[in-house]
Amino acid sequence: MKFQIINKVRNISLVLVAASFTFTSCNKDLPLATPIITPVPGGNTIGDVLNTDTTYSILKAAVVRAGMLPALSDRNSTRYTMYAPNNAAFRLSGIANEAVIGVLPLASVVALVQYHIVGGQALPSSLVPTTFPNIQEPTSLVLSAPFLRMSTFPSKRGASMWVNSIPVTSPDIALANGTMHQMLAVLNPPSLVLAQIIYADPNLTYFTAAVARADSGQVGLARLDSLLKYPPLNMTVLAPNDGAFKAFLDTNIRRALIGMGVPPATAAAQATGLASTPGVFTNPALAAVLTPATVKGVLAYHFLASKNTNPAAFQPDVRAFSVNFPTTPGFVTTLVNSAVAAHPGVMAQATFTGPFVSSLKFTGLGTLPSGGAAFSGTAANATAQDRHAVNGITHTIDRVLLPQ
Amino acid sequence: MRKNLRLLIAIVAANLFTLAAIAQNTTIKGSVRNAGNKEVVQAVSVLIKGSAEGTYTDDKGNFVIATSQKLPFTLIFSAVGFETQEVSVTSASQTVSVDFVTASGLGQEVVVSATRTPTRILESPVSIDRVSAANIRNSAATNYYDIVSNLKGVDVIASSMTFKTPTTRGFSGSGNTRFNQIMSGMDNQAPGLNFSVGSIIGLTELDVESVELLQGASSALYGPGGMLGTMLVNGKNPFKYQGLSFQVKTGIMHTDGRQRPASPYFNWNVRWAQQINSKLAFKIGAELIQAKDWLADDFRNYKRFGTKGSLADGTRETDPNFDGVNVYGDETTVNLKDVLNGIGAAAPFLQGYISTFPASIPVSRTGYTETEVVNPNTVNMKLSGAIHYKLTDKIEANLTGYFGTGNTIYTGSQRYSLKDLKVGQYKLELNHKDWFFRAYTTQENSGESHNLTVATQLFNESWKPSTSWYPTYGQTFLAAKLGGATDAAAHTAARAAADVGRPAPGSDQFKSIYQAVRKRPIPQGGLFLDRSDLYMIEGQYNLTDAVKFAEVLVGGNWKKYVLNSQGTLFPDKPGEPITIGEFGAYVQISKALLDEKLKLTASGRFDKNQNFDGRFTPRLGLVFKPAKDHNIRLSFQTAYRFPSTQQQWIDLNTGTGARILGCNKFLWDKYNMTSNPVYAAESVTAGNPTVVSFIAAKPESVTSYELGYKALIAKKFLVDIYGYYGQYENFLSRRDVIQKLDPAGPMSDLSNSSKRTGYSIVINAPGKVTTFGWGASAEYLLPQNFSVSGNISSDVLEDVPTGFQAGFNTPRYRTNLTLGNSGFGAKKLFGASITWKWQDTFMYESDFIFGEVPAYHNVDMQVNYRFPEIKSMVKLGATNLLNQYYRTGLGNSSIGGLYYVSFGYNIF
Repeated sequence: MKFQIINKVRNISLVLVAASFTFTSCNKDLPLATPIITPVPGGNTIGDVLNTDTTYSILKAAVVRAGMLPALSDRNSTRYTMYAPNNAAFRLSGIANEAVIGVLPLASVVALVQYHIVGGQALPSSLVPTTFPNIQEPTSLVLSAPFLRMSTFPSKRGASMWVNSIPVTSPDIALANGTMHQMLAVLNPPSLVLAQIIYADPNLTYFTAAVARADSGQVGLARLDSLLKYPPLNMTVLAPNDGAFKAFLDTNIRRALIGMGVPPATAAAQATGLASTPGVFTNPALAAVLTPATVKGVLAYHFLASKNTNPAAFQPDVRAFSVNFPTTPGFVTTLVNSAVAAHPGVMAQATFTGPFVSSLKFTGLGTLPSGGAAFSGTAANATAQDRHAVNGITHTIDRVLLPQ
Repeated sequence: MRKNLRLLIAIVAANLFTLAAIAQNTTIKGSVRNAGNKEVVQAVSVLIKGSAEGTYTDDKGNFVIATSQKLPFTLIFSAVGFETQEVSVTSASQTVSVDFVTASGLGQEVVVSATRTPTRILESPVSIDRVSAANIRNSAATNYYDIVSNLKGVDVIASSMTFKTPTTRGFSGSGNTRFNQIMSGMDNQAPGLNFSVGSIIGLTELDVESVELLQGASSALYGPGGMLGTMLVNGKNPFKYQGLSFQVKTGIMHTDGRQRPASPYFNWNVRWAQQINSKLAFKIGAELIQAKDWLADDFRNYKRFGTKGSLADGTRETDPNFDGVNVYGDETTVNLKDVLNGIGAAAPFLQGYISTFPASIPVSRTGYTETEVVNPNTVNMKLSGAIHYKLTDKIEANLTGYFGTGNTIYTGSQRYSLKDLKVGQYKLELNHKDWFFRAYTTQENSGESHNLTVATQLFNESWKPSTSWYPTYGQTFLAAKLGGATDAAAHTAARAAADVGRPAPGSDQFKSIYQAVRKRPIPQGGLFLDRSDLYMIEGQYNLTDAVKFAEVLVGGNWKKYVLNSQGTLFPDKPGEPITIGEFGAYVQISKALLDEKLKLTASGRFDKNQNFDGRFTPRLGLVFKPAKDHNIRLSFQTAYRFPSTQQQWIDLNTGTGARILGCNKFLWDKYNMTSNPVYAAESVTAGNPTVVSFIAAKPESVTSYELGYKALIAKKFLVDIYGYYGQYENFLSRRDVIQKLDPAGPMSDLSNSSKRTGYSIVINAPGKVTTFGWGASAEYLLPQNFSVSGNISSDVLEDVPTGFQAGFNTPRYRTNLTLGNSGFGAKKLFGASITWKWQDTFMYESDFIFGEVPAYHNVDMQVNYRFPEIKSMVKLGATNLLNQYYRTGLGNSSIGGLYYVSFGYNIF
């Protein structure tokens, strides 16, 4: 009897357990956090294009030599903006074929390739500003001394686009891991600061001497020399050549001598003599005329500057390539504005032939000799454009610009 | 205040004790046993017919009555589940032995909560359910609160293992202020924290005589709060239930190791009650629960905007602004673009590059999961004691205290670790057949309770301030980008760099920082300093004997809240608590008509809060008895609720960009919301900021209609059906508003997370919100002591204005089925039951989170065996037998299986 009941109990329990299983289909477990799947972009990578498009064979050779091809072919974890000179562009820049790449110093090839790559973004031409100042795009090139990342400066006017002063022939080639902008020529990675370029130029000896004069008694970044040597800056220097300074000095010294009562003929001869060497700036006889303040006042007019908001002051922090100047006469502010905020600046005009600037003119407010109407003097022509440095760009001009 | 109350108690007590001096000259002794199995029957009422004198059988079934009544007289023996017997006593030397015959108790239980006069549950004018001590004894549930969840129309939100909040008629949530929980006559809503603490502080399991659950706004008698329902837990009178009882439950949980390694569960319960003499009795009790709590393990991504939001895709690895539901500290978020712009200002050559990034790159700090920050041990200790003294035959006084402390987790606007929370409730009560008087206080001490979100956010700040974490992140991010990385790769690298040295969960460094932060009061840490109290006096008088023509009850109450949080929860200052006074009064008239076939009940109450206008709320009910054991009930009810203490005065920064404010104008002014206007959050999102002006919040009210039918058929089949329709007006809710940090700032500041601040303010929802629903339950007694019972119920919300957060949080359908046997085997000593529960999926809306709670099934089961010789019982039980994890609310603990064995001695 007892046994039977135990059996019964067992049966009942079994029924209950069985029933419970039929009742409970599994409870839905708490959904796990769902990862956000970023779809792996399809299509060609930058590396694929270099690998397959033979018109980029020189660039490919450079990229391979620089060891950058795997990164440029990675569609999962990389994004790049690539300025891509094709073979024609390399030839235009003096690199005829892949073999040349093979014999260039490795460091140069690496720097060249890195300067053509902006990491972390695919910059579309639509984000490139159509007015000055340019957007500053830091490339993969990091100088070891000074430790500084080199930037490129894309700009756009109408349908035309440039990087630095080099025209883009075909922008916005959208690829899986970035965007390529095809270039007309190779971008030259800067390696020297402005001081190194200017001071070594045999045609800019007066400018060099003028900087030294202007800086006498100054310290730190108040010295123009410091600005020219300070790598992190981003300047535009209009450097009058020796001829320009001679003409400027000659006229002014002569006027000063006549003012002191020297007969005009003597004054002319003496002035030409005095102005014939850059030593004129340190000539004790002229110490009262070419004072550091006077010289600095004139030089300041050759350093382009923009107004910062914090602190509110004009700083030499714009890099204007030839292609960035207006095609109709327009004004750019200079360091003079840091003393005279309302100063109209320098009048500039670029004339294009194709995508390049064939003529670049600057006119100062003052005239030589002084007394003319504002901006009525002869314009200074750029005799050498777009000399690119780590800390800026310099255009050599054939007249000294006068701020007043 | 406290002094005054003590004085009052002393005076009342002193006056009453002098009344007690009555001669007694006859003593009758006897015993009661079960005619069937010959076991003694305890707690049987023994009453001298025609008098108020009586006693109860003790734990050995014996009774003694000392009386001044003249012999002969008749004794009436009665108890639920037995047929009432009358025995004539002619001689004092006669020993009265009664053989009690069991009877079907179906529908015969007497409930008092519905009308505050004893009524057969079958004839109650409103929907009511009852859980008896026997139900608790024969249930698989480990906690009597879980049994309530198996009643029709009831939802229980489980914040954690020991924190359970029952509700009826929808609008459930972890801290439900629309549902009253009355423990032994005391409202046990914590005065400052606002949740009802019944499941952690209330009666110990062995001291529960019954739980009565009233659905809807069905009673005017329990204060204005219970718009959705009232649950009353009634304690055992030490005169009636005597002797020593204890129960030891030991179990195992986390058996699958999913949340933690398998761990033990302990629940010890003891109660001792003794009648010292015919006038004096006392009881003491204690319960200790110790376990490793269930874990809230919802690690899905959550997009917050103020106190609202929604679940979203994303993991810590794939969303830089990941904010996991049960991951804390990751609520801190900053727009990385602002950080990058800061870097750009210092390094202008990068500014152009940075400007090509999106305007908004939200990045959150790395958080810690709930497992990593919460003490795994949940401990709950309850202590209770009472002294009962019969001042006269008719007046019984008692002095009762309940005290509870422990660790548990609660979900409010965030997850809170209620650590060493202490709540005490103490009352002095006088009971008479016709009246009662009660004075009690609730003393709350939040102990070391802290907000997990805020504490973990501040932990992060303490380890590495955001002012250095974000720059590191930004610099690394930028460097990685410049190196050619995608956003995802750059974020990964940046987080790794910023998190270098992040304390590993559980490490000594982690512990020491976390301990320091959680012990620091808000706003420097996560700690509450809540010491709020409630003082309440209430009384009721039954005027029936005076008015004769009808049953008439009148009553009233006075209460005072003293909010004391030292500025951590409310805007009070140390030594200057905020007080809120409230009073109410009610009258209830019942009249039987048509030869007792129809009974009408009309009641109404008037309530006034010092901060709000008073209002009268009427209720009407009728019970029609077309035939014996068939009852139709119909009622019209209105109820009215003042904003809770938090809805009036809370002033709490949640750490998620929104400060939660009460409706008091003081707070509006404190945050200059008039001079520096606030804008509706949704209007800012829509790009058309609209100013929100101060509108004084009003109490909310509900009007509901209910129809029910209850019948007992052939004494074997009990059925109960109801349907209701309710309309809420001035429904109290919240909305998010946004304010500019700089009053003079541009309107665009409203969209910039670092230039704005947010508030969640109390509002009355416009228009009316409608709910309706129905429920049905049935119980059928089968042969061989088997019984089967089940219920199904439904609640629906309609007419919700768009954009309005109702927080209905209730499944459309839920159902329960229980199969039980109260005695099988050779000697009928085995018992067993199995309960299956299913509820539908539903949208969960709370200040903490919005989202869907999946449908779930649950099976509880138990088998027991009684040892009558030693008055003991062994039970083998399982809750969530199949270990199928489920959760009752989003962001709450996932509950798995618990398997236990219990031994109980003298549990009745």
